Amino acid sequence: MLELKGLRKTFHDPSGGDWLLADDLNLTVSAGKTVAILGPSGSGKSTLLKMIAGLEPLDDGRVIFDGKDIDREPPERRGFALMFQDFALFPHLDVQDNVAFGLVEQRVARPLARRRALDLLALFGLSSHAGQKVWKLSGGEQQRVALARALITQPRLLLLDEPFSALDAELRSSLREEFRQRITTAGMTTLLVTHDEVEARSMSARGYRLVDGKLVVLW
Amino acid sequence: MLQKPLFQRLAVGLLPAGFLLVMLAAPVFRLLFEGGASALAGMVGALWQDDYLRWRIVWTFVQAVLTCVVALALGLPVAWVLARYEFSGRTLVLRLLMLPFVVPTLVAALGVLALWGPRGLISGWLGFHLQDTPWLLLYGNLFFNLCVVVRAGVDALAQVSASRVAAARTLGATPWRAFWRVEWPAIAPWLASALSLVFLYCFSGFGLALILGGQRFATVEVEIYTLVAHELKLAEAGALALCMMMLTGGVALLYALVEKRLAAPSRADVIALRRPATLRQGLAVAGAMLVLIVFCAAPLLAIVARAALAGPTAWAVLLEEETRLALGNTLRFSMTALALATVLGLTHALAARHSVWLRASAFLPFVVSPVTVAFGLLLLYPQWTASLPLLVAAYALLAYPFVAKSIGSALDSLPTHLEQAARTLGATPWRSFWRVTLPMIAPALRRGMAFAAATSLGEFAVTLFLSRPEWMTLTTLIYQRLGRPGAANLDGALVLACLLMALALAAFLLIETTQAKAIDNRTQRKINRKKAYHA
Amino acid sequence: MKQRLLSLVLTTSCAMLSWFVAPYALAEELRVLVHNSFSLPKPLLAQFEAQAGVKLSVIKGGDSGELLNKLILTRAQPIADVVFGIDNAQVAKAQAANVIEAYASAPPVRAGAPAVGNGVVAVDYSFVALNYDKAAFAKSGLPLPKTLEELTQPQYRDLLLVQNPATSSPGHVFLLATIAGLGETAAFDWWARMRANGVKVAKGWSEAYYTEFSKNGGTRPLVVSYATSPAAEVFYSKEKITESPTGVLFLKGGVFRQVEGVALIKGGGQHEAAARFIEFMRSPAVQEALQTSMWMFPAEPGTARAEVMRHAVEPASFDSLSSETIAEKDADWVSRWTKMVLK
Repeated sequence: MLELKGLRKTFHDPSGGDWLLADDLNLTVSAGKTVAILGPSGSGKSTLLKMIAGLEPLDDGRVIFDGKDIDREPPERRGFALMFQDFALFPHLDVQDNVAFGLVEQRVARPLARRRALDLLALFGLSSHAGQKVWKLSGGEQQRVALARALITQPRLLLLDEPFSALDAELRSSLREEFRQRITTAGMTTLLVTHDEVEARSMSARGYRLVDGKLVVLW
Repeated sequence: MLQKPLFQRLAVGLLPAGFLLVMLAAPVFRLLFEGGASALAGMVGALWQDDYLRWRIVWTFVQAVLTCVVALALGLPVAWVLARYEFSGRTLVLRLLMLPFVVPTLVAALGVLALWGPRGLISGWLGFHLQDTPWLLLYGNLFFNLCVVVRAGVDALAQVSASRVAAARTLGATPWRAFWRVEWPAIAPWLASALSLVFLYCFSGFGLALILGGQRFATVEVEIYTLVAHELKLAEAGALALCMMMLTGGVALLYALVEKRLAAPSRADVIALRRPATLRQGLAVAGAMLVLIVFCAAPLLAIVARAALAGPTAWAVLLEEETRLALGNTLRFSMTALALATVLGLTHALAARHSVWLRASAFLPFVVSPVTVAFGLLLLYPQWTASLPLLVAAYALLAYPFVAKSIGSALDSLPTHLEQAARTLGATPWRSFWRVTLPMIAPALRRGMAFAAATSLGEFAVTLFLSRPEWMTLTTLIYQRLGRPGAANLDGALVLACLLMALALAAFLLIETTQAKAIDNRTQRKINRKKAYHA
Repeated sequence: MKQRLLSLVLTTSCAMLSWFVAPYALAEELRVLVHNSFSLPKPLLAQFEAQAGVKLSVIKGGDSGELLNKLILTRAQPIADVVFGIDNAQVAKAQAANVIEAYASAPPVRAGAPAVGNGVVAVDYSFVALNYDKAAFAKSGLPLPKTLEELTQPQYRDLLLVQNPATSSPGHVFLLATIAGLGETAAFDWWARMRANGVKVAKGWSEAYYTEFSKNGGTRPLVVSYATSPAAEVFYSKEKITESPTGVLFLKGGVFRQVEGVALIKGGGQHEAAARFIEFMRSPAVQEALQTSMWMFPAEPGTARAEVMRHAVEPASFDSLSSETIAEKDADWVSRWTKMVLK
């Protein structure tokens, strides 16, 4: 279970003017549930995810996971997975090594990590692309690789940042359904940020809107 | 709170910053204030009163500006041809354009003399030579700097958006008008950046001016050298050095500002290459190649030709013990300097991400002349003058900005979220640097190292001051041979120049492999395209 | 794969770096500062090292003017223990800058014998004078000039080549020779007229002799060089020749005896070894060897002359200036010359 308590963050705009991104923000995501946060582009949703992942410092407040205060833990020790808006696949590695990346960081021997990555890729219907460079894949394929890479280490929390925004409309709805199933099957605790309310409603049990640094319940 | 405080992020920069302080800032201040600070102030004013020194300053400025103007006038059309036309050998020409960057100054100067000097190939034909005229130095300047402008021009023209040019054409602009109203504004910053580099090279050049300038057309750097080494007028030398640094510093700042603007995202719709179809287009391609041959290839070909014609007795120089010693020293010093330069360049570039000042300081070794640094070192660390660490450190000082610059621009174009992605996948900062950042900047690192290696191999100015005889390098051996009796020694010098050139080329090819570059380019383009898509 | 290669490169680099930067063991070392023309047979130097029990570290400090400047620049912490190459034209400057320590057991100076003075022990000497290209003069049919004055006449236009006194030691002493021989006023008058008659100025002796001198492919048949240069021409000639292709002109006001010496550097260490080095430079073996390695006459009387040195003549007479006069006026003369001839 993820809890955010009294989160505060001021964003310093280099071109002048500071604005409040999170102002005494509170949120709870129960284990195994998916929660969505809605908001227009530039409302600070991505920064919120980065703060939870430990990539962005907080001004004030606490990030608690399963009852433990973790806001001093570095990102690699939190065991969360963040899926970036444009996937952030590593262009110098092939598909299989991209997926295996997290396992290698857990000291799994590389041949074994690659084999387990291949197994997961097969599950995602991507085994034929295993040896390819990631930039040769289509957008949907890159999206699946990014999800596989995020899921392979069985993270405690999955953070999704506009996961389908880079895809065309048709692919978006089919992939959304596929992702929902995979996340449910894996029993993943998930926090999703998006600007698309249809997407948010179809994937999550609870929805909030980020307004002036506070969360407003939508459903 | 996970972001480390600024000083902690800058910790990696302590090494290069300390190095710059000890090896560059301190020696320069030492030289500047040798004559006393108040004397220095009075001296700067007095410089302009002196006819002779005023001529030196004016000429130094004029030759740099002239080189810029000619390099732009010749380089832009050549760049346009290379950027717009597809012809066989085009890729090879683009790669060969790197060649002048790795040719040691001394070799270039020899090449220019072999063509236009008193006993040069062309002078022999025409019956007159260019020694003691300004043209010799200008030609040498163009050899190095035409390629800078052409390469910048080709890169810039490749960034021009095809749809914008097309839009201009449909709105009624002729190709010529479209060039001036759409292409020119887009490439101008690139050219401005290249020209400020050209100005810096020419304005603060030493080696070329020392050998090609003669008595009348030498530059201020040579004058500083003469004032300190021969006349011991330190106050005047310090004042001159100060003037030079203020001017070059200003231009370098301009360059840094222009370059920052160039980080704009590149467009995906590049203008397609076409084959030259009409006679005029064919002539344009031929003309461009001719310009490159005359200014960039001829001096090198002249050295090779003269050396080849010299006969076996001249080539026997390669077997002499002196040559073996010099070759060994050159390799040893260059490799050690390269190792040091790599560490310094890498740490500098990493730290420079967080500090504009540190970023700008990578230009310092370009701005301050080797002559000034060498004399400052001599004054500041007399007990180390003939010590290997100081010599190698001076080599590294001159070589490492290439590494820092190359990695710096690679880091700029590296999407930050890749490292963040690695962190969320469980990698520590060090691991994500090792597994993601380093492999991605590896091609840039290799390229920087290639330039650094070539610089060290051809180092000349510092070696002239800080060396001792058993440390003779190939460059000092060539310089020595030039000053020994008879034609046999000149031929020997030419053969040695061939060896040095081959060495620089080999180092360059060894480090910067073709395959790695191709992959890097494609990757980069893909990333750029994705960035553009999201923007 | 790529990564492994990279790590290999980085580790090797670091290893090499530590190997080089690691302080290297310093043997008992005698640091000798010399000018660029210093050259002695290697076995001789090795023999000295063995006898004196020190390692010789020979540091080339540039041409003899540069050499002295380097000494002055680094006098706070001298870069060497003993210096070779201070000559009689510079010794007063060295004295004024207080960089030389008088050698206690210097031999007494005999009247007329070459000497440097001020604690510097004379090792060798030569005469700076005009050299001419025999073939060029034979071809043009022009008679050899008999006085400096004749060189200002139109038939000798564009023939003479000198070195810049500011950057070259023979150029410098040639300027002194004209002042010593003609007197200050007449000498500068002569230089002004030579400028009008097309005197050419080269930066250093090497550029002048090896590129601009007509003997070596240049255009000028008259050059400022040494009385010993013709002997060197014979010695280095590709074919065997019995007569030098160049000759020396000893004209009034155009000859200067340059005496080079060896001295202790003030603040330098290794006094005992340094003294031995001074004696070594005066030893018969070195005095004989230096004739064909540095092309100078030996300063020690009674030294056997090398066979090839018969092509090098010494002038019957020459003018000289006291080192005090030189010290006092030299800087003014050089800048006056620069203004008059170059600007």
